[in-house]
Amino acid sequence: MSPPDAPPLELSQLSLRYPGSGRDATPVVRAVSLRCDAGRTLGLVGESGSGKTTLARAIFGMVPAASGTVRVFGREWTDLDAAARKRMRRRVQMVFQDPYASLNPMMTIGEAIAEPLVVHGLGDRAARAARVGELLGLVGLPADYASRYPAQLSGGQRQRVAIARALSPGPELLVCDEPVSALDVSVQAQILNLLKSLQQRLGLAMLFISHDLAVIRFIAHAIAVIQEGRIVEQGPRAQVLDAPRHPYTRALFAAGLTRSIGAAAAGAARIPDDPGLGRTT
Amino acid sequence: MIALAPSADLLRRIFASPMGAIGGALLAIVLCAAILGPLVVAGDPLRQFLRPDRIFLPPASDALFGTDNLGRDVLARVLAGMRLSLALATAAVAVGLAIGAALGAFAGLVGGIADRIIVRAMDALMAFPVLILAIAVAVAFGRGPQGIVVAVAFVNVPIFARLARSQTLRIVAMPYMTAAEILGCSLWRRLWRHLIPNLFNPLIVQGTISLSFAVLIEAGLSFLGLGVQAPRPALGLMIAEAKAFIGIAPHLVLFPSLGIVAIVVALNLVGDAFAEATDPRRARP
Amino acid sequence: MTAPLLAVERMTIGRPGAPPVVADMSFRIGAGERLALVGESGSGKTMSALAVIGLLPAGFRVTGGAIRFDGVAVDTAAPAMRARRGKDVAIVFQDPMTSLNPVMRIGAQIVEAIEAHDPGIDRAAARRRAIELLDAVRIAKAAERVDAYPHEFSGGMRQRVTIAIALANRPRLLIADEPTTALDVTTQTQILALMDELCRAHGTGLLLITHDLGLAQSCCDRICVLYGGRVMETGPIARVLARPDHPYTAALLRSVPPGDRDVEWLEPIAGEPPRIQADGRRCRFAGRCAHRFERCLSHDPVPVATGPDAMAACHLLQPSAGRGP
Repeated sequence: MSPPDAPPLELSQLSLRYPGSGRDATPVVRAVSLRCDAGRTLGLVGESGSGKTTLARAIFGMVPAASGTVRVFGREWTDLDAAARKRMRRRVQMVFQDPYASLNPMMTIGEAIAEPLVVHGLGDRAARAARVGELLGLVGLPADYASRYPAQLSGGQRQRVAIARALSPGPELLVCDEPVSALDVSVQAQILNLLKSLQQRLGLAMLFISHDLAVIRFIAHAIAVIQEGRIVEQGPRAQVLDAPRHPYTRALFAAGLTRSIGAAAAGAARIPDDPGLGRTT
Repeated sequence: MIALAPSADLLRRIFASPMGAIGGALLAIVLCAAILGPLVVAGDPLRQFLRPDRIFLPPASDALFGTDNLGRDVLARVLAGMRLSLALATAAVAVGLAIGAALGAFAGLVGGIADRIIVRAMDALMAFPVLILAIAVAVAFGRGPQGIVVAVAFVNVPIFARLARSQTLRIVAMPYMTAAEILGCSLWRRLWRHLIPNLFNPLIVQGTISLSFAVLIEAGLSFLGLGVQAPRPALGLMIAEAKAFIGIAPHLVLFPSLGIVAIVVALNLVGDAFAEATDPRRARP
Repeated sequence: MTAPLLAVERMTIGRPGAPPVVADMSFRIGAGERLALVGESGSGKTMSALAVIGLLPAGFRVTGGAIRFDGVAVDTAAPAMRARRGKDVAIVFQDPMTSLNPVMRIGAQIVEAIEAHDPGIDRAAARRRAIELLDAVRIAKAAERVDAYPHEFSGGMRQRVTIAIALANRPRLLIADEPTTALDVTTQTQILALMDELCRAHGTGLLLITHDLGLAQSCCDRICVLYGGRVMETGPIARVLARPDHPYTAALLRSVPPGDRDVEWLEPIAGEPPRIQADGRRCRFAGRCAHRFERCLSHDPVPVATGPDAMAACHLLQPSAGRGP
């Protein structure tokens, strides 16, 4: 059993190497310390190549730590035996970025949502069918969608299915990896509202990964900024948003602001070609 | 339970296209002819009538496709030959697919040294010309249909292995496989419910291509005398026997050739229609 | 009055026999002007841009309306268009990974663009020009890197190379199709600033295709909002974004998370953008519009001028509708 007051997610000085690379390879994630509290959303802001995807996989025990620890509800994946690992999988789930690739094209929606129930032996056929219906309702899809295939659904609908599937084993921690980046603008707001409301209704802890600051601002209670594998800034959202300390954070905000509507007219900040930003692009 | 069930909608899509409809109709005719034909048609493919008034009869006389140099009914022989071609081709491709797909999927999943060994082995197999192989088998095991099946299966193993391997690598990298692992699926469940059903369509597409090639190869090998032996009917063998008489009885070459063409064209059309209907690019609306 | 650099008039694009993917599309760009074509998937923005440069995919044709360069109607699908492509009008695509040939050195690709429109040019001179162009797009140590292969560069640098190729022959119009979508946020800003600077320096007009309203605002003077293959609204960008006349534009603006303040809930637009173009006469946005009424479902909206240089196509704006704005 987990220690009763352990946070849903705690990373301590975690370093990770890209899976498959050798001992001497540069770590893709370096000395990251993060904490996600119960019922709160931590927004992780990073661009591609920042290591956020590898980090997400490590949270599920799929990438071994080069050093440091990953603790999910107070337990490390390496301490758990196979049965305990399987039980832990009910408590942490993920929503992926690409709604076109995160659903098995050969399975119906109903089968996909019910699969966690089958795998963990939760309920008989009737109970599973009822739960599928309930989850479809929770994400705003009609119950008869259970017999459809992903190819018949649009991107936004598929993402709702992915959310329903993630919620089906009753997790307490949800990792969302750029869940709206691949969706049309007019649909993003629907999914963002859905995630925010589900998080509140179900009291989920959430790790929300995105490169889009406006989205993070909308959904996160606390913010961490990752650059090239390191956390360069972390804190409650108001603090990070109003008074960013690290130059990278400030550069990200300025870039984001240049493109937020309304701010541009005032004269957008020009980003100098600053070698201090770490990369020659 | 594995979901093969996109089939109802899929079948509709396949046969709705003009290519699929024509191919499907032709294939239906071919299959009926090959499977039911010998039961329905009166003639006996082996029975000879060595009389001047029964040999080299032209088509649409007493015998619908005419008779050959030994008085045998050409229609009956062609139907029997088509049946044989399809049976041998199907057997050979099935064996090649089963072995090849298993090797390829295994290589893709396991990676490392095993993968590299299998890939090199498949490269070596691909270098084998099917003809030389069939001759070698005929020499080793005697002539007959078994040699053809072995030879054609042999050359198909690397084709299916490469396909299965590349598809496996693609599928395993898909987020839905990671999602399955995160949900708590065991390795076995991931293979059975997520990998294998997604391998079907590409394998079937390749299967239809391989089938039509197999029919051609079988015809070629039996033309060379490496398959079933006379007097049993095989389409290629019939053409070989008839080439001496092409001046006086061209129908003896024509009808077996049409038989081969019908099978190959039907398989190609249906295979193409299937490939289009299952094209993964259609998945995005 | 001089004819605009590019005038697209009531253009229709489609496959023969199928409903059009773009219908009745009109917009214009003057010399040195910047227009943003903004829309979501299915809006027809990419198709419109491809039609202008004559690169429509197989099967698609301009089936109605006209495309005019300097007032003269041009058949962009004709072989004669090749003389203009790369010289008068050039294009930069979204994905720098696939728009450069991986087995050709970048210098060679730039030279290829130069030689296509100046066949007599001496190879050494072309190479010098290629190096100048790499310099202009801020690739450090251009003289050394001109012989590098695309895979040796990062995404942002590759996009700079594609810009160099596009601008090699000083085109009068640059089309940029989602040029920064595949890049990081900080890189995006640099690339946009680069395009901005180069276009201003040479007086090049810009047709920017994007789904990002903020991007459009930071880059362009005017905006044309598309939905379902139709133009919803056109006008000066500051005005359209501050006081949109079309319900779609307004709804889109309201649904985007505001980066500069906190909100409890966003205001989404119900439903999804159309995947397949439907036939028939009605407003394409009616299905999702909070203000629709009967006429919206039975008649195509007619474009109405809403200002000296602005228009919107919405039944709400027609005086005869009986329901005023």
